[in-house]
Amino acid sequence: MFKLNENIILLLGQGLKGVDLSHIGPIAGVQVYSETPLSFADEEFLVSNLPNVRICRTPSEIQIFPFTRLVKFSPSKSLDDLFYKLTGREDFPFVVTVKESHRSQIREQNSLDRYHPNIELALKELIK
Amino acid sequence: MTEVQVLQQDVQRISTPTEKRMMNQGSMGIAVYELLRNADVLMKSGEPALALNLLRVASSQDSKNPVVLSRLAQGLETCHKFDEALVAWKALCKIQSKFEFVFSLAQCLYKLERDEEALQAYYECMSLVDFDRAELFDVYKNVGNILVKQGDFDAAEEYFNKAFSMNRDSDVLLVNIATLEFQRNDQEKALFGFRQALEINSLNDKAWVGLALLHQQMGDVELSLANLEKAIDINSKNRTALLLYGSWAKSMSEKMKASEYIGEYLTHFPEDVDLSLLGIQIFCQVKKTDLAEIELERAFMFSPLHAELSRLYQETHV
Repeated sequence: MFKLNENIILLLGQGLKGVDLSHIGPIAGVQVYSETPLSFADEEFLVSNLPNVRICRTPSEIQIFPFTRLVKFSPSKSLDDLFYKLTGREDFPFVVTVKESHRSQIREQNSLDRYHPNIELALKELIK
Repeated sequence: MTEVQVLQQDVQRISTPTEKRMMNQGSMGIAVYELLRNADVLMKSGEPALALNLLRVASSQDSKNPVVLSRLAQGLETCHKFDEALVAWKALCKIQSKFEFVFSLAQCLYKLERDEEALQAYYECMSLVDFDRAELFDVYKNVGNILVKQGDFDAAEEYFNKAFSMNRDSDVLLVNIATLEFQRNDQEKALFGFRQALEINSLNDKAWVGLALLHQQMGDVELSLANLEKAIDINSKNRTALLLYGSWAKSMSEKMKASEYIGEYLTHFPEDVDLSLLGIQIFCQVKKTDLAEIELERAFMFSPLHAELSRLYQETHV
């Protein structure tokens, strides 16, 4: 649970599908930026679920300071780059939160059994 | 000099300070100590099975002694009895949740390919360590490997990077990283990783297999077969390289080579059904039917319940 009176930037990498907002408690300010433009329904969802939410439609709208935590709801690399471009820092303590169902979806896509059995076996051997 | 005095003298020569302390404090019986000491002698003389007998007796006499359990688990691992070793490591971790023991438990689970449990044990290792230890390299590397297997590539990369920051010269780690990039379809990075691994250790047969996979994916079949030949030259028992070579060989000369490689392998591992089946197929293709028949007969004797072998045997013996 995030602390009260925190200013948070939420970076949404892959839409809201994988985002579990249930563990975000009452917080002072939230800025949301998504890699892909948010749909009207998504915006409605955010506004009704998070108090004081601020939707950023372009990276330049994100107010970097003051904020206490940046929460990245996706393992996306481009969000790392975005954060680096905005702040010039690589060392910010990201909190990566991907809903488990979303994570298992990613795992399913990447599963080794998409290869021919011989290749699958070889890849398993290489990562022993 | 009494027996006890002899033993007390021997205490001075004990290899580990823990045992010495335990013996002095009286928390380890003389009989158990003597069993451990004799097991040591046997182990050093290359008799791990005999040593294991003594360690089992020691364990039956003092089943909650961490030293005994740890030595028993190590002995079982030396004899490749990983299932039993796991029981010993688990019992040990219940008694003392130290980094060394949890790490050994995790390694044992990893060898047994019980990935989910291994992952939890590795996470516990990370929570127990409060300074950089050399073993953390293996923790990060193996966590990365498990996550690759699970398809969580970004998390895997994070752990590989941690391992890489501890040791940049590990060819094994570079092969692991290159395999991750291969699965991400980043051919350039994968190629760079496998080549870098080979620069560090040109005898890494797994790196050659990785290169072969990559070249095959790029459509260069000849180069991929050459890579596999290199892997087999380095390690003629690399079954993955043999399976791939046997499956990818197209020309008669390549098939002849495959038949020789597989024939040689089967003399060492006659119970490997997959290679036997591949061997039978290739022997037939290169017109070595007598060898194919012998191999089928032999493989069927080893594994009469194997469905494919059984079907083949029935068909050829009608």
